[in-house]
Amino acid sequence: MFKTLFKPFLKRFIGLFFSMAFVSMLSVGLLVAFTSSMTNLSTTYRDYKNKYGACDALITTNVGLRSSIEGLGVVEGVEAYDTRLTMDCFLKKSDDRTITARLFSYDKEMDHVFKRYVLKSGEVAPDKINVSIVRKYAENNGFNVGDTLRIGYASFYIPIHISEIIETPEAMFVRATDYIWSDSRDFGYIYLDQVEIDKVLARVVKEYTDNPEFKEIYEKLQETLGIELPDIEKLIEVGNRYSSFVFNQILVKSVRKYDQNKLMDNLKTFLNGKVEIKSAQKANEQLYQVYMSNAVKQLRVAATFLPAFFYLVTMVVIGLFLNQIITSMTKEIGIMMSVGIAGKEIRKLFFAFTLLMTFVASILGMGVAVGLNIYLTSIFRAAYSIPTIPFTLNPWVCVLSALSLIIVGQLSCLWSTAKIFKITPKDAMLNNESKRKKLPKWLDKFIDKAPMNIKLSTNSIAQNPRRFAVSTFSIFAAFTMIMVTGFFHTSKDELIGQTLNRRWCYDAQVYLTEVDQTNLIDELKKQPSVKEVEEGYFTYLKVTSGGNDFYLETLGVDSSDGPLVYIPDSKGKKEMAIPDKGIILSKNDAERLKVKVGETIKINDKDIEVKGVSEQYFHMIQYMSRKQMQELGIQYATTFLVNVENETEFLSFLSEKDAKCLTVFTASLKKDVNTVFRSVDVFVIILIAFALGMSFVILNIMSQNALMEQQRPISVMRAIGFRIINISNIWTIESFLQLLLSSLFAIPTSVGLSKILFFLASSKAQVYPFIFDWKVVVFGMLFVLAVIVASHMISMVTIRRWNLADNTRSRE
Amino acid sequence: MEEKRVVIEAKNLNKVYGEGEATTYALKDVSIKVYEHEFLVILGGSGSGKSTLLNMIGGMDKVDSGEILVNGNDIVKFNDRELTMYRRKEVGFVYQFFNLLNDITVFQNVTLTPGSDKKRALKLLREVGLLDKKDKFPRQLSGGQQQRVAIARALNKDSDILLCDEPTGALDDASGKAVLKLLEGIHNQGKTIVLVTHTKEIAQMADRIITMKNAKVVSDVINKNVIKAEEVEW
Ligand SMILES: Nc1ncnc2c1ncn2[C@@H]1O[C@H](COP(=O)(O)OP(=O)(O)O)[C@@H](O)[C@H]1O
Ligand SMILES: [Mg+2]
Repeated sequence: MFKTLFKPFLKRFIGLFFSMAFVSMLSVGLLVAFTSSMTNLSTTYRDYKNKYGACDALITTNVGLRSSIEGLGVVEGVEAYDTRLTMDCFLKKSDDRTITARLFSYDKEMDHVFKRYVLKSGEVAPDKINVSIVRKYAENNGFNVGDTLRIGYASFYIPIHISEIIETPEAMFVRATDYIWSDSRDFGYIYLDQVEIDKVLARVVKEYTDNPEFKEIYEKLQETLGIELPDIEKLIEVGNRYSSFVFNQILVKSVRKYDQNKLMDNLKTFLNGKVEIKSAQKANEQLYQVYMSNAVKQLRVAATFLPAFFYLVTMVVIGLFLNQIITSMTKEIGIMMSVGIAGKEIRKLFFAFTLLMTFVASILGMGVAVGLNIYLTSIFRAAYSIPTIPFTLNPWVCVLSALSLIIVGQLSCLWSTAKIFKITPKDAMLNNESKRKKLPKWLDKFIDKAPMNIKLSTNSIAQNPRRFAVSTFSIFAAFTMIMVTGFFHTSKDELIGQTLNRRWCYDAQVYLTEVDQTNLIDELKKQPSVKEVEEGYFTYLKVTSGGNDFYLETLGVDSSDGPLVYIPDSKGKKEMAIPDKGIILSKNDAERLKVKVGETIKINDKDIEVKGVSEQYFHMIQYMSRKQMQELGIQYATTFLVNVENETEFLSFLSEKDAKCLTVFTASLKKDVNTVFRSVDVFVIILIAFALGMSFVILNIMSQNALMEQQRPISVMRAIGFRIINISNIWTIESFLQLLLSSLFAIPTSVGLSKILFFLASSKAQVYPFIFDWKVVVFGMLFVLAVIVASHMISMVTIRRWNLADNTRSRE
Repeated sequence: MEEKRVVIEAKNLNKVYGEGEATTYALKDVSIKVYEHEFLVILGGSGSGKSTLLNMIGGMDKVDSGEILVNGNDIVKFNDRELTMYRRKEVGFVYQFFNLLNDITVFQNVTLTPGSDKKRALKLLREVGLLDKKDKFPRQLSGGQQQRVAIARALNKDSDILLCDEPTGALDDASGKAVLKLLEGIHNQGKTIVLVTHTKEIAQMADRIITMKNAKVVSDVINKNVIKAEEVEW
């Protein structure tokens, strides 16, 4: 019996079979791809971090002797440590543009914490200074293995030879480093073996002792900009093989699960009196780690909830489709029952049908998953600088997803086929023309007077409310999907606004390296290439709090209501005004200093009140009024913020005037952080596409069904001279109703769902705000409308192809 | 006349459709007996309750009250599973509108009943004269041919009872007569036939005629003038 019936059953409903398989395939593909790429990312990140530079404490010090910290390895909580020398310098590109770089030494013998992941390597030239350069830096600036660059200060430059392109976890936070001139296109990390950096330092020392002009510039850089430069006197004292003996940075890997605060305390106690600590970061204070854990969290939410939503939709869709099949087979099921076939037997047909469908969908879904996974993984590799994320699908995820689809299918089959037991053998006697339902009286009365179109469309809904429900549901689901993703996008914009765009509201910051350039600023204000200028006093202030000294990057500006300065409040949301007296601290530094608003700190032996705390996410700056700064003894402007009309003109003006300055543009920094933030946005696009594809297929099948139901009356209408466009009005009314109903449900659903999702995706450092955006609603509605119109077009083509003679002939 | 064995005994059947204003009595206290090997016709006008009665006997629908004893078992008390087995094994049913499944072949239709015999199906198809059409689909056959397939399907089980609801109702004269001849032959082979019709002429083929009107049995008479199917004219 089963064998006889199954093949014709499958053949008859093959269209529905593939539509259901398509919808299911998308769900499986999405789940497998999202989950695989997500788990691959998070596990690889963990391994990669462990192997190539898990730094649980990063301590920057003044230049110290390695011998002075012997015994650090046995400090409680320390598993291993590296020391290295780091310094900032300028780099001249082949087009003569000056960009900045940070150099790090490494010791091949002693790389417990830091290891290079070599992407590409070339020849090591013994007569040159060989360096490894991080991928992002190389890509952004077009550097390649074998290239020669020049690094140095002022007019003193030496050539370096790129022998490797590498990736390190540190390089992830190039974009998020604590330095403003990490204008990341122009700032990057260069790693040199000890031997190589010794060659550099020997040149620096020689120049420093021989060339008074160089000496002056070097000292100025050290003092005015506070950049990382080794202290030369100390280097001279150590002798020729400088970097083998000295360091100014310590990287510590902690014993597994050792308390971070305790580790830091132990380290500080040990280092006390041996070296001067300039800054110390625990693992969770290093921005790349924060970024990564945030990204992983968001992706996990996306990878769990969105496919779950799709599964739910799939379950409902399968159920409704099967229901539709059963309705159209009522008479036949009745016949089967009348010859003694049990309901259970008939149900087996549906279980088998669904099983086969979900099986096919699972296989097809793996194909979708492979493609999507490759796409997502390559984005993750680039955005998070982890070259080792595999492109493979997780076999467990595949098996479990396929299995859960099969279970979902069987469950929804179980639910929808219960209806079979309501069919009796008596239904075998149903008329061949499908049974017409009687409409309620009020509706009957209403459509009696209504025009033909309304009559037909009301009838079409009333005769088969389930079909109407399926289409409305699919529109609702797509609409909800689009709105949730849209709201996510808006929320992200707001978050980027908070952390980045609103705060970096100027095009460039110029750091002046000469003492008094008041004339330059006055002239600059008159330049047509310059829109707005804000002069500032920029310096590193030595702050004493709780007996400890801290260096805080501080900006003194006149007004905060100008367009170039934006100080976010303690939640990162509203703008704060600069007080005449007192200081606004960044939230991080306030925590570091352990001070609150209203308390005082000591700067240059003066008591200064903390007037506010500002959430700045990264690149922490303290703000003061200019008057307050003058009182602290800073007398001239050392920086200015500008908005420029034309970047090139502005730069050529500066070089004409021979300005002694360093210009940092914010655009590429913003772009880079945006890229990282937006890497999750691929999901948005994929989801919208999937939602639309899914609803299109469902809607199309449903309207084809509606057409088949109404084939007779429509053909009669055509036969007496109706135009197709007149007939299509039937669905215009239906679609309008569907749009109305689905909006009614989709808007509150998507608001609720968004709120839950955002809550789950948020963390302490990044709170996704929910903002109701009408644009999202309108955008979603337009998309949905497009899908509806497209399916109408297909319906119209179908009608055009009908043979009127066949359709109006009697059936028996 | 010697006492024949009773194969079906319906006692005091009642069936009401609808509620309130729309209430219709389909069966009012109907009692009938069907004897072994007889050709029984249930005759009556449209809406008199014939089909309802036949459906009840065939285990297609449930009565409101009454008993239907088939070989000593009351099928009214049967659960769904037992009713399914009853339809599968005990009775064959033929409808006015054939009710073949259109997506499967003639042969597959005849063997649709679970546990039905394939060899017998071929034999039955030869008997109804459609062996050459066994791999065709129902819609490729004429109405009369379809009805003969339906009869073959109804016979392709171990049952001795064949229930026919207006089997000629949808057919032209010639094919109607062919169906009647077929039924006559089947009866002669020893099967019990209950045939529902509104046509008096067809009723003349029967051994016994039960007449229904307004949901009640109004007469139950032995037909003294049995005519051959060949002679039926309507
Ligand atoms: N499913 C049903 N719902 C409501 N009324 C029904 C139904 N089936 C039959 N009836 C009513 O029961 C009565 C008997 O019907 P039926 O047994 O089909 O008569 P017959 O076969 O003699 O023409 C009729 O009045 C008919 O309208
Ligand atoms: Mg009838």
